[in-house]
Amino acid sequence: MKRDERSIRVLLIEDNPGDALLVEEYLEEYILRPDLKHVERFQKAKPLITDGNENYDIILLDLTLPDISKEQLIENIKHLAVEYPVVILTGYSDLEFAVKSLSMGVSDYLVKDTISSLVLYKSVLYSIERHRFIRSLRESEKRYMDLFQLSPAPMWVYDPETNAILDVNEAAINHYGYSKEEFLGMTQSALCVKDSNEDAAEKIEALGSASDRTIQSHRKKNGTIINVEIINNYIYFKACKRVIVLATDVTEKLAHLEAIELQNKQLREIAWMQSHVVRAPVSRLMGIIDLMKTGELDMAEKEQMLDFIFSSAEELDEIIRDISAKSEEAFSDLNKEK
Amino acid sequence: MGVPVIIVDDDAAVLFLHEVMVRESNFADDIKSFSRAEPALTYLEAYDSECVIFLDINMPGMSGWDFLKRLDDSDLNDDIYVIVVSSSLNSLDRKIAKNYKHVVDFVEKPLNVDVCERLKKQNSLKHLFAGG
Repeated sequence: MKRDERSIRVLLIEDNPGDALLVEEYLEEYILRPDLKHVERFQKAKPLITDGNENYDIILLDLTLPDISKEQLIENIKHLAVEYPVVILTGYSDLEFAVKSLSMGVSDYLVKDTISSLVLYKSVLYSIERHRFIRSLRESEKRYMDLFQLSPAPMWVYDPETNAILDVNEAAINHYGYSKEEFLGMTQSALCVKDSNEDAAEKIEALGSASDRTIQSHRKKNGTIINVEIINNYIYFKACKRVIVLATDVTEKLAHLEAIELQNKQLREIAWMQSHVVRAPVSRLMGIIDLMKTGELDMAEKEQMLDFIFSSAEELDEIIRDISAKSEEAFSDLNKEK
Repeated sequence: MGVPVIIVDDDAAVLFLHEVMVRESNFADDIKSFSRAEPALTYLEAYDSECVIFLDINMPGMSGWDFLKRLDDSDLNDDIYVIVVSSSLNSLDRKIAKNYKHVVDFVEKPLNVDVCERLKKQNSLKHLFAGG
């Protein structure tokens, strides 16, 4: 039959030379280039594994070794199995123990008397592939956890049934001032002073945000109330439905908006004054001058016109002072905001 | 000569000026002046016949807009023609004025003889002066 042409690096930890030889022969039957490293003691294997210099595709481990008890071995296997696929080699007497080791992360166990070349080959391949798959899953899980933990935006997860906060990231702890423990002892409702601030939401929406966001008022540890833009999403965490919250503090944004709105209002008032109030005495003056040019006014009427001109000038003066005061007010308000 | 004219403006000087201009331009002899919109409306409700109103917008109490709204809501004579005379340079005011059915024109203050002459030839008004 055709042998597997891949080079597979195997670390065999086995104190019985006969068993070791058998394993080696079985491996060679199906694998063209088994790169086998054989050690007889666990303590010898340890530096090879922890060094990082040597790289193995799989570890075949005898359960009964002279330099380590089974209990200690299991403790070591737990760590080992994170890095490498581990297949246990055992006799019938330790079968129960071998079965238990599966829950420690061991990939497979083989009963020595029943091992054949095919069984060994299949177990080796299967364990390597499965371990690779689990590892990539774990890495992806870590990546997602990092996205959560290292996100610069405050985020937390809560249980929609009880409202209890289950996890919180660094940014939330820094922004809100509560410690992680304090967060985990809180409910979502305790954090949130005001559920939805429609008024603020409208303003933020007008800036171009999507409409699936709500604005809530939250209390920080130091008592300050902040306005936060909230995006909620459901996630399934360990098979339970959870809500993941992304909170963006928009307090300053809103304050700035309010200042701009106030200034706009003042500028509109000024514009209104320019177009209505200033124009009134000016148009009156123009009319009077027009009338005086065309003549045909008696002395009394001329006197009256001069009075009108004077009062128009006074009115203009007052309006200009008023506008100037309003303009100053509008700009000083905005500067205060800065 | 001409048609009866009603002038509504809270500014005494403007009222005087407008009276002079309307008279000088031979727009009308029969002129009634009001410095408040309320009494002007009361007078109009009783009068209820063909006339031209020169209406100011910014007035204390009832504004020119309020006056126009009341006029539109009433079932007064269709031959009541309103010319809005405003000191406002705001183009929005001109647009708003067009929405009232009695309004036939919008002119900026000050009213002068030339403006009055032009108004006499205005499409909605020229029939009033055809005989003169």
